Formats: sequence, structure tokens, C-alpha cells
Amino acid sequence: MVYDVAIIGAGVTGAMTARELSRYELSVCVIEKESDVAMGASKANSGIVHAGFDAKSGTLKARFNVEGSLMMEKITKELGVKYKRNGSMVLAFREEERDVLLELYERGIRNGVGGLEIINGERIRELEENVSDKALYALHAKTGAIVCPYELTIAAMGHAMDNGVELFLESRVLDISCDNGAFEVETTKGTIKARYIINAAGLYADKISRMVGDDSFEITPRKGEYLLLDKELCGLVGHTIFKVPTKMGKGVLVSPTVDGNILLGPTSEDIYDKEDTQTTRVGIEKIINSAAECVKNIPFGSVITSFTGLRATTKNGDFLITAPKPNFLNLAGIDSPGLTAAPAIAVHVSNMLKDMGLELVEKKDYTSTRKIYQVEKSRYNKMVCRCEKVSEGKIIEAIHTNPKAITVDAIKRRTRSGMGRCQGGFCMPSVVSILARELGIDVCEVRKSGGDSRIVVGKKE
Amino acid sequence: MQTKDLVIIGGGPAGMAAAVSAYGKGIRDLLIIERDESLGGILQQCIHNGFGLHMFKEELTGPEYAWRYEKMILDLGIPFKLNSMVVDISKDKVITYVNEEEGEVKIKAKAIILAMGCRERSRGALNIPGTRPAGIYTAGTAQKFINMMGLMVGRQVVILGSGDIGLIMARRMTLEGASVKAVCEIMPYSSGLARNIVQCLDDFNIPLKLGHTVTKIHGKDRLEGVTISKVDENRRPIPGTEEYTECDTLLLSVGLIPENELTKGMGIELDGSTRGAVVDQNRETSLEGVFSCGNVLHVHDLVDYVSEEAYIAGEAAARYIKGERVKNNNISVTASDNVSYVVPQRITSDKEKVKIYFRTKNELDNVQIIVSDCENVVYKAKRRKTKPGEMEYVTMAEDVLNNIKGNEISLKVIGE
Amino acid sequence: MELVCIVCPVSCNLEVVMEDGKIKEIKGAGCKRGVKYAEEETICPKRTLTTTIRTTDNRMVPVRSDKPLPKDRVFEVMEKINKVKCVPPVRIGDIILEKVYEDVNIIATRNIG
Ligand SMILES: Cc1cc2nc3c(=O)[nH]c(=O)nc-3n(C[C@H](O)[C@H](O)[C@H](O)COP(=O)(O)OP(=O)(O)OC[C@H]3O[C@@H](n4cnc5c(N)ncnc54)[C@H](O)[C@@H]3O)c2cc1C
Ligand SMILES: Cc1cc2nc3c(=O)[nH]c(=O)nc-3n(C[C@H](O)[C@H](O)[C@H](O)COP(=O)(O)OP(=O)(O)OC[C@H]3O[C@@H](n4cnc5c(N)ncnc54)[C@H](O)[C@@H]3O)c2cc1C
Ligand code: SF4
Repeated sequence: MVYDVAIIGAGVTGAMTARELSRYELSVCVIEKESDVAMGASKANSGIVHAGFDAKSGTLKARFNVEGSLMMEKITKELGVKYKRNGSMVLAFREEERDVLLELYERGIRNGVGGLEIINGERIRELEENVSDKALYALHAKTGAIVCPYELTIAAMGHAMDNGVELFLESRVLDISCDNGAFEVETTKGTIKARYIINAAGLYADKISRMVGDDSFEITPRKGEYLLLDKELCGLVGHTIFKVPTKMGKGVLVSPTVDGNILLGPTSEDIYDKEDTQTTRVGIEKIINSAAECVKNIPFGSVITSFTGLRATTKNGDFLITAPKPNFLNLAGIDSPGLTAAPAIAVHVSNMLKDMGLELVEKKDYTSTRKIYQVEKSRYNKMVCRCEKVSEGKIIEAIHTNPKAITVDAIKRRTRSGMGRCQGGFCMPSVVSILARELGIDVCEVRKSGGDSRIVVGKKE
Repeated sequence: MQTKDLVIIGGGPAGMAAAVSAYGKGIRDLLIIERDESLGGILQQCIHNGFGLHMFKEELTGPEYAWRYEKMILDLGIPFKLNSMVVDISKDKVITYVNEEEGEVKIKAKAIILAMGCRERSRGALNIPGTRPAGIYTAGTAQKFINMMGLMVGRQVVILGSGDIGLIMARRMTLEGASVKAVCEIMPYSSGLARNIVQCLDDFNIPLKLGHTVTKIHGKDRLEGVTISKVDENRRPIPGTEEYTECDTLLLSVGLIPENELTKGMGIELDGSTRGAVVDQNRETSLEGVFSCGNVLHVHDLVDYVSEEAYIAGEAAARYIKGERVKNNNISVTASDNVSYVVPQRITSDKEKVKIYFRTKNELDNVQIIVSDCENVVYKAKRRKTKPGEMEYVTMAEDVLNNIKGNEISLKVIGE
Repeated sequence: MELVCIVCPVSCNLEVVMEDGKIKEIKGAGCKRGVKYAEEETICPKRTLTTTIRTTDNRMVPVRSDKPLPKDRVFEVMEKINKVKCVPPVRIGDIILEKVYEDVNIIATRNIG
């Protein structure tokens, strides 16, 4: 068959776009090289719904940030994912930094951001008792919010699939050719034909674009490392706390997550290797030092995990939304605030496709809520993960609800089983057994994530 | 709402022994709640021998030790619920548990004994840089896979941490055909028992690398290797000492942490050093009628001490229920020089002798243990040797307790 | 020869003084069991083997040798154990494999219903 639209990349950009397009009478597929959705930048970022005062006025970033931020609350409600408007603060530690705050404030007003104010030290401490005593001023943005980025991506893709979108996992796009007005996308799992292509391949968007002869841009990975603290620290800060930004970005933040943990990071380092998601000793130390400047009394002994995300940056620093070839759209350079912007970009894409001649007819049988797989009720009373209190029912649900979890990590991202303080030490053996049973495979075939990431290597005789 | 005199949370060795002792003191309206499918706790996966030398004067395996108590529970007819997880306990002692058959159930108890055991410290707690492939497990998880499910987690193994579980797993993996390349220990000494080093490592020529740690993880999908580095006296890796070791499995045996989420939920005071509740000599916590024993209170190296402690808690709970528990004192016990923690942290009666358990911070020889109040040394004892990995105790008799001045005593240790 | 006694957790450091290939003296033992251990460890070191056996319905039974085995026979016995499956129910103490080495039997250490 020939799909109307093939989207390459199942990050938040691809997923939101797929969901937007699933409203219409179109055949849409999403092609993803990994074993699950949200395996790129969309799984490892700060999860902040930025208010929108950062981006330079007039840029695509500014526009889609503000638009996306306004859409986010409603979308998260529709998708049934967590969203919390916790507000953010940018701290100034020196008198001269106050000017930077003013600049951000004015830029925010220009970008159309509401709920901004500059507050003094006393007010800062009133709102956040653990913020450093050295903070003199802060830009307080009441519309700043937090979401769980992979929960959002998974839900968006699931909703798209409930409305007919197909997802091909572990299918890396190798080449694209154009034949009689349709594209042929060659993947590691076969060829897929489509009339329109949307390139949402994150770090590899340059490579995909080159496949159709466009080498006008290049993506450089910029590494961001994080530390995650135990839930017992919930309440350390309520707002997302930044320092005044530098050239390399917004700096290390201290923020609650929607699940009640505390997130520290990211670092910011330009690297060459697009697969280098290793955490480093230097990075970890940077985070610790930087976070300690903003917030007092952080017990770094309560770190439960660390991780790394790679920002897909381009030279000019703005999102790159272009059509280098007819019926081929690049959504490239989607670094921060790409998570926030995704819903707005998705709407923009569907308008662009319409302008390119794609007919958009609304589906009659569109379902506005997600279809959750029904599991026997008693299974919800059987606890599998003690730290996050995840039941067997929830795990079975994740295995059979779109987009279906086929690995231990995929279950973890959907249910939080294994994300608590014991990091799967307790529940992993049970999760492995449940996966094997529900997927009808041998326990030895169960994988942690993609590739040959088997959990157990053999059976005792 | 259902009511009970005594509810015991956790059916491991601590929970079982506490139930048996409370029963022995006349408590009949009691219940053990256990989330696993059998009683016995962590012992069911500890299939090796080495349990029970103090308690039964016999060398038993974990399941055999567990069976001794399970049998007492069955013979006495003490009720227990399996596959039932306690999800909440309120300050006024209402316990909420869930299971498949009954859904969510609430029980109001006169007294509660917390015996939830502990969990293992994970990789995240260590912040080892590198990738996050499959093949990294805590030693206890690997133990569960092999011993309970018959599944091999890997073939070429490096073990980080020389605690007893790590040592035991080195032998277990070797017996099942894996090759254990090394056991790395960041400290200059092992926290495991010397007997385990002999019979788990030396017997199989497995090198124990003291003063070494894993500084990097390699491999994308499945673990491919680790970098091992020497550390300096401040436990910082020494640049230039990195060595790459190929392996498909890394087991972490880097410490246990008492499982006190429920305890915290009740607002019970916790001790930052033990990470368990602050208790008195009865193992009663800061919340009246709530007791704590076993690994949830502090991590024990020997199950025999767990049972002993559980007897204390069980008896005290019985006395509390019958209104016979006396509190006529309030002395706080604190850890001083070279001592990492003490249990109990409070003495609330001078009617009975009290054993104070503690761990030292370092390995010491020719050790003097000194307990003093605000004015004088009230008690002194000697040991040939102390190790952080091995719990010690001193017994303070009634007359010593009676002579304490002020309301604080501190325990310190001097040695070479 | 220096040894660490493995009989109990005290882990005494033992010193075995040899003369003409025979034990002359054993120093350092905290109790008699340590002396016996040192003698045996010098002549023929022995260990209790603990492992598991799969049941025919795919569950795991923990087992152990009912007496210590010569250390250098351990892998041989493991091989024998890994070749068999046992049929439930199993009671604690049941002999699962008889005479795996001389008079040493392999017994179950847990009830499997
Ligand atoms: C450290 C960090 C912090 C951030 N913080 C925030 C924040 O707080 N708020 C915010 O709004 N934004 C934030 N962002 C930005 C946000 O995370 C990204 O903009 C967003 O996740 C990008 O989504 P995406 O779908 O474009 O890319 P990705 O999520 O990277 O998805 C691209 C997908 O394409 C797939 N792919 C690539 N090549 C191929 C191929 N050949 N064949 C098939 N599939 C392919 C990849 O596997 C991947 O799944 C942050 C980013 C980083 C890295
Ligand atoms: C791997 C390992 C090896 C060891 N080796 C030895 C050895 O060789 N010799 C020796 O003497 N000692 C050894 N020990 C120590 C000894 O086994 C432990 O100290 C002892 O098991 C602790 O007993 P416990 O009852 O406190 O905890 P556990 O045995 O952990 O039991 C706690 C129980 O509580 C249950 N529980 C927890 N939370 C809930 C809840 N919310 N609701 C319901 N139930 C709950 C758990 O399922 C568990 O069954 C070892 C320990 C470990 C972990
Ligand atoms: S000699 Fe006795 S006291 Fe010392 S370790 Fe051996 S058995 Fe224990």
C-alpha cells in the first residue's frame, strides 16, 4: 500500500504530528528505529513546559513555544497524562544580572507570555524556602509547568494509533527514493511507500534530509546530563529553579517532576557522537556544584539514577521547518523548547501539508480519548513494584495498550515499575515473567530495551 | 472495620519470630501480613548455608532456617496472609493492605510490629558513569533470578562490592558455570565475613580487588565491559589506573537500606545513620505501640540477631497490648568516636538489662568500648577486633542503668 | 600455614604448624571446631554444596549436600545434580540424589508442594 503520510521518528514531534493527522481521513504511519517510542531527546529532557520568555522574539521557537505552552494543559487532559503548573523562577545572584532578568521579562511580554513578574530575595524565600540565600532577584513565571515527556509522547502516539496510525518499531530508515510521485522509504524491516514524508528524526534529521538530496544543514548533538533524586525529597522545591541563562543554554535547573522526584540538570556540552548518551563523572560533578549554588540542603546521597539527553542543535539556533522537496517536510533542529512546542508544530505541519495539496477530511469515527486495554480487576490488586506501587494489572495494560510495550524499559516508562528507589531490583524478575507470558515468548527472549539487550542469558538445566 | 490486637507487617524471619514471641506471651488475636507468596522473606532465596549457628547451634541454609519458624507458626496456628501488600499505615494504626482476592482491606490494630526488611542499593545510588545496557543487577536480584527462577543472568561477571551477598553470588555464579572475573571493593577492607571470602572467592581463585571500583560501564544493548580503577584514601578513582575488563554482567553488592516507606508515612522518627526507626530497648518507635525489628530497623549481618531482636519486639508488643509495659526513664544513647550507629537509641526503663548493638566505622584491633554519661565512664568492655561489617554489642546491667547521671549516654570505641 | 576458620562467623585466624608433613600444632582457634576444621583443611578440604534442582513442573527446589564434600569434587557433583529433575511434591530433608559422592546425598532444603 501507499500511505498518505509517513513520519520518520517517534519522538514527541513525530507523535504529536501523527496524532494531529489522525483526525483526518488519511493513512499515516510512523517509522522508528528503536524498540519503543520516545527513545531520543523525548525521553531524556527536563520535562518543562516553558513559559516562552527565552526564545528570541520573531523566531519559530518563540512562536511555537508560546502556542504550545497554551495548548499543553488541554492536551494533557485529553491524553490523561500528568501536567502541573508549578511555575518557574530564574535566579539572579548579582546586581548586574538583574538586567538580564529585565531583558527576559521584556522578551516574554513581547512573545506574548502572561503571568511574569520580577521578585526580590525576600519574596523568593517566601515562595521557596530552600532557594539559596544568595539569590537577589528572580523572574517568576507563573505559567511555567511540568509534564513527563515520555508519558506525553507515549500517550500521543497511543492516541494516534487508536485512530488508525500505524507504528513500525525497530525500522531504521536507510534510504529514501522518489518514484512516480510516491516516496519509497527503505528501512531495516522492508520498504514503505508514502506520498508525503515528515522528517522528525531528531539528531538524524540531517541524515534523512540528505537522503532526498538536501544537505543544507547539519545537526550537532549537545549533551545534557541529569541526576534524579528520591521521592523522599519531594517538596525540596516547588517551582522549577533556573539561573540566568548563558550562551550554552538555560543552565542546570532544579525542578520537581510530575511524579514527585527532584530533577537536577542538564549540563550542556557540544559533542560529536550522536549515540553518546553516557553519563560522565565530570558531568555529574558539574550538576552537583551548579545545583548546590541555587538550592540549599540538597542531599546528593539520595540520587536514584542519572541519565543523558542529546539536544539536536543547528547552527542558526532556531527550529528548522522547511520543505526541501515537494511533499517532504523537515522538522529539524527541534531542541529546547521542542517538547513544549510539539503540539503547536503539529498543527502547523497539518496546515503546511494542506497547503501542499493534501486533502484533510475529518474522520467521523475519531475517538477523542485513548483506548485502554481492559484487564481483570483483581490483577490491579496484585502489586509487582513496591516502590512505585505498580500492580500486575497496570503492567498487562501497558503490554496491550497502544503503543504496546515490548521491553522491560518500555514497561518502566509506561507504568513506573522499576523507576523507584530500588530501580527494578525488586520487580524486574516479575516484570520479565509477565512480559514473557503476555507476549508468548520465552523468558530468555525478554529484552531490557532494543537490540540484543536480553535480561537473562540462559536457563539452568 | 476489622480490629486486631497485633498486626505484623512482613513475614520474614523478623516478622515470624516476633509473632511467635508475642504468641508465647499470650497474644492470640494477631495477624502476619506478607506480600510474597510464602513466608520466609529474603531467606527463601538465600539457599546457601551459614544461618542459625547462634539460634539453633546448627548450620542451616536460608530456607531451612525459615522453615523452623514457619513450622512454629503453623503448629501454633498463628494466622497469616500471603500475597498481600501493606500499602499504608495511618498514625492511628489503621493498616491498609491489598491482595487479589479481597481488594483493599483496612484493619485497626492495637499494636503493630514493622518487619519489612530492607532493599538493595541500586546503581543510581552509585552514579557510575557510562551507558545503561542490560546486564547490571543488584546481587539480590541476580540471586532471585538464579535461585528462585532458575535463570542465568550472565556468563562473565564482575561484582562490585564485597558484602556477603556479593561474595555468595560469586560462588553461586561460578557453580552454575559462569566465570567471575573479579570482586571489586572500594574500601581497603571487605565488608563481608572472612569465612565467605575463603569459601566463595579463594576456593575458586576469584580475585578480590580491595581499594578498587568500577568507574565506567561499556556496551549499548547488553553490557560489554567495565573499567575498573584504583581509588585513593578518599575513595576517589586514581587517574591512570583504569583497566578494562570484558564482562556481560555486573552485580552490585553495595549495601542494603531499610525499607521504611510505611514507617515514614506514619511520621515515625527515623535515625539518619541506621535509616531505620529510632527505638527504645523494647524496639518501640516514637509512635506508641508501634515496634520495629529486623532489617527494617537496621541492617543485620546475621539472621540469628534478627530473630533475637524480633523476640524482644514481640514480647514488648504483648506487654504493651496487655497494659504491662513500663516506661520510667528516658535516656538517649548516642554514637560517638568511631561508632557509626547504636540500637536502641533510647532506654526507657531501668528494670531490665539492655543490650546495645553498634557498628564501628573502621576495622580496629585491641578495641576498648567506652560508655559514658555526662560525667563518668559508666561501662567499659574490650574486643580483640571490630569490623564495620560485623555488628557488636555490649550488655548494660540494671545496676549500670541505675547509676546513669543525666539523660544521655554515649558509646565510643578506641582501637588501633 | 595460615587459615581462616569458616565454621562460624567469628572467622578465627588459624595457624597450622607443620613438621615432617604432619600437623604439629594449631594456633588461634576460638573453639574445638576450629581445630578440627584446620586439621581437615590441611589434609582434605571439604565444603557443603548448596544449589538448586528444577522440578518436572519447572519450579526450583533448593538443595544441599547432607555432608561436606571434598572441595575438588564440587564441580563433578554439580554436573550430576544439573542432569536430574525432581518430581514434586518434595519435603524438606528428602533425599533427591543418593550417594553423589561416596556416602554424600543431596537433600531438599525446602518444601515444594
Ligand atoms: C537535555 C535536554 C533538555 C530539554 N529540556 C526541555 C524542556 O525542559 N522543555 C522543552 O520544551 N524541551 C526540552 N528539550 C527539547 C525536547 O526534548 C526536544 O525538543 C524534543 O524531545 C524533540 O523531539 P523530537 O521528536 O523532535 O526528537 P526525538 O525525541 O529525538 O525523536 C527523534 C526520533 O527519530 C528516530 N530516528 C532517528 N533516525 C531515524 C532513522 N534513520 N529511522 C527511523 N527513526 C529514526 C529516533 O530514534 C527518535 O526516536 C530538551 C532537550 C534536551 C536534550
Ligand atoms: C542476600 C542475603 C544473604 C544473606 N546471607 C546471610 C547468611 O549467610 N547468614 C545469615 O545469618 N544471615 C544472612 N543474611 C541476613 C538475613 O537473611 C537477614 O538479616 C534477614 O533475612 C532479615 O530478616 P527480616 O525479616 O528483617 O527481613 P526480610 O527477610 O527481608 O523479610 C521482610 C519481609 O517483609 C515483607 N514485606 C516488606 N514490605 C511489606 C509490605 N509493605 N507488605 C507486606 N509484606 C512486606 C517482605 O516481602 C519480606 O518477606 C543475608 C541477607 C541477604 C539479603
Ligand atoms: S575456631 Fe571456633 S570460634 Fe573461631 S571461627 Fe572457628 S568455629 Fe568459630
